[in-house]
Amino acid sequence: MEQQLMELGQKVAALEAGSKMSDTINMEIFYWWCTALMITIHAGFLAYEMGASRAKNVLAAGTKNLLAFAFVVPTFFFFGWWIYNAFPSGLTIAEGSEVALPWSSAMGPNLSDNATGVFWAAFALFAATTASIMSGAVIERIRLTAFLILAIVLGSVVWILAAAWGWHPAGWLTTEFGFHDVGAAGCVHLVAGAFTLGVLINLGPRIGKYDPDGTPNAIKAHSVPLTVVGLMLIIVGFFGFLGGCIIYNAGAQWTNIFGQPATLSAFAFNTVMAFAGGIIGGWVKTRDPFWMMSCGLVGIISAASGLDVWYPPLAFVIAVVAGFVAPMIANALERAGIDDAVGAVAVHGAGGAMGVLAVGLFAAGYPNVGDMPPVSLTGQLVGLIVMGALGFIPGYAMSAVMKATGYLRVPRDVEIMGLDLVEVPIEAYPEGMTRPATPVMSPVTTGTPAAVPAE
Amino acid sequence: MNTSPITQWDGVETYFTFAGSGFGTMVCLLASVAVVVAAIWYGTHHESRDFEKFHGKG
Repeated sequence: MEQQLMELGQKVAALEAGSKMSDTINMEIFYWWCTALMITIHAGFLAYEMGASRAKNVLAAGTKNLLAFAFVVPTFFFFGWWIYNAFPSGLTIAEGSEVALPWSSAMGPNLSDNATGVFWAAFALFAATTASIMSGAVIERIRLTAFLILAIVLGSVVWILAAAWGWHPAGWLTTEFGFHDVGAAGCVHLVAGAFTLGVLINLGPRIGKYDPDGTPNAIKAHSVPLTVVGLMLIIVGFFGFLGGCIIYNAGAQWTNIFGQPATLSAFAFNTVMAFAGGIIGGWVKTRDPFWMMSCGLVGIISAASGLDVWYPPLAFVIAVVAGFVAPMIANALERAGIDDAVGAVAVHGAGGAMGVLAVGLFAAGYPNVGDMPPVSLTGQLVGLIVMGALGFIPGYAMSAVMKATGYLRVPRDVEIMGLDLVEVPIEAYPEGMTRPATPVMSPVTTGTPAAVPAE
Repeated sequence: MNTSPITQWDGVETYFTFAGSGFGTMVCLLASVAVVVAAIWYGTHHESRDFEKFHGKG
C-alpha cells in the first residue's frame, strides 16, 4: 500500500511537472506567433510606403523601410530592452534591471528562462513598428542615414521609455495616475506620431507639394493597389501586435500588461468591431478607398487603450468617430504646411491620442490592482500630455540639429531627379513606368487631404 | 574554437556561446555595436559620394 501511494505520488508529480512545462511552452508558442504576425506589419509598411512613393523613389523608400527594421532590432537588444526594465519609476534605474543588459545570462539561450527571448522579440517588433510609422511620412526627401539615426532614437529609446512609464505594471503613469492603455495607443502610436510631427516640421515639404502661395498639391502615389494591399497587411499584423499586448499566465486567466484580468476574447470583439467602425467613418467622410483602409487602422488604434473593457458597440462608435475625424486632421496639417506623405501624424498621432482620451471619457472608474488608482480622465490626460511631449520634443530637437548641419535632407537636384537614380543600383521598373502617363501632382480640389492614405 | 560553456546537459541553465566568459561575450557585443555604428558611417559616406557623383554628372 505504501509503495503504491509512493508510486502514485511520483506519477502526480510527473504529471504536474509535465503540465507546467506544457504551459510554459504554450506561452512561448503564443508569443512566437504573435511576433511572426507582427512581421506582416512590416511587409505592409514596405508595400504601402513603396506604393505611396512616386516611381522615381520607390526603391529608395523600400530600402529605407527595410533598414529601419534592421537597425532598430540590434539597438533594441543593446539598450532598448534595458530601458524598459530600468525606468518604470521615471528616470531612476530600477533594481533588478541588470537582467535586461545585453550581457546578462537572460539575454540568450537559457534553459531556465523560456520567457525573456519571446518577450524581447515581441517588444523589438513593437519598436520596429514604431520606427516604421515615421518612415512613410518622410519619404522622397529625407536623407537615409539621418532617418536611420532618428529611427533608432524613436524605436530603441523614446517609445520604450514611454512604455516603461505607461505600459508596464510598475510604470509611474499607472501606479500614480491609473493610466490605462492596454493596446499601446499612447506609447506606440501617439509617441510615434508626435515624434514624426517634430521631424516633419524641420524636414519641410517635398518639392512641388505647395504652390508659392501655400496652396497644397496632391502628390499621387505611383501604385495605389500596392498601398491598399500594404494597409491590409498592416491590419493582419495588428492581430499579432495586439496579441502581444496581453499576458499569457500559465494555468491562470490572461491579464493585461498592468496585471488586471482580461481575455483575448475581449480583444477579439473590440479589435474587429473597431476595424469595421473605422472603415465606415473613413467612408462617410471621404468616399476614398485609401482613406477607408487608413481609417480602419485609425479605428483599431482609437479603441486600443480600452480593448479589454469596451462594450463592442462602444468600440465601434469610437472607431467611427475617429475614422471620420482623422482625415480632417490630416487635411488641417496639410493646410498648415506639414507634408506628411502618408498621413501618419493624423492616423497614429491623433488616433493614439483619441484612444488614450476615449478611456478617460468612457471607461473611468475601472479598478486597478493593489493600491494603484482607478482609471480616470485626469490620469488619461496626464498620460496623453506626457507621451505627446516625450515623442515631439526629441523628434523636433534631433531633426533641428540635423537640419542646422545640413544632414537632414537630400540635395534639391537629387530630390528632383529621384532618389532611385542617385542612390539605388537597380531599377524598379526597367521595362516601363519610369514616367507617369499623367502629372503626379495636381491641386487639391476635394475636401480630403492631398496626402495619400495613411499607414 | 570551443565556445561551449557546458560539457553535459544536466542542470544546464545559460548555454549560449561564450556564456560565463565575460571576455568572449563582450568581444561579440562590442563587435556587433561596432558593425551598427560603422554601417551608419559607411552609409553616410556612400550617400555623400553618390550626391557628389550626381552633381559631377550634372
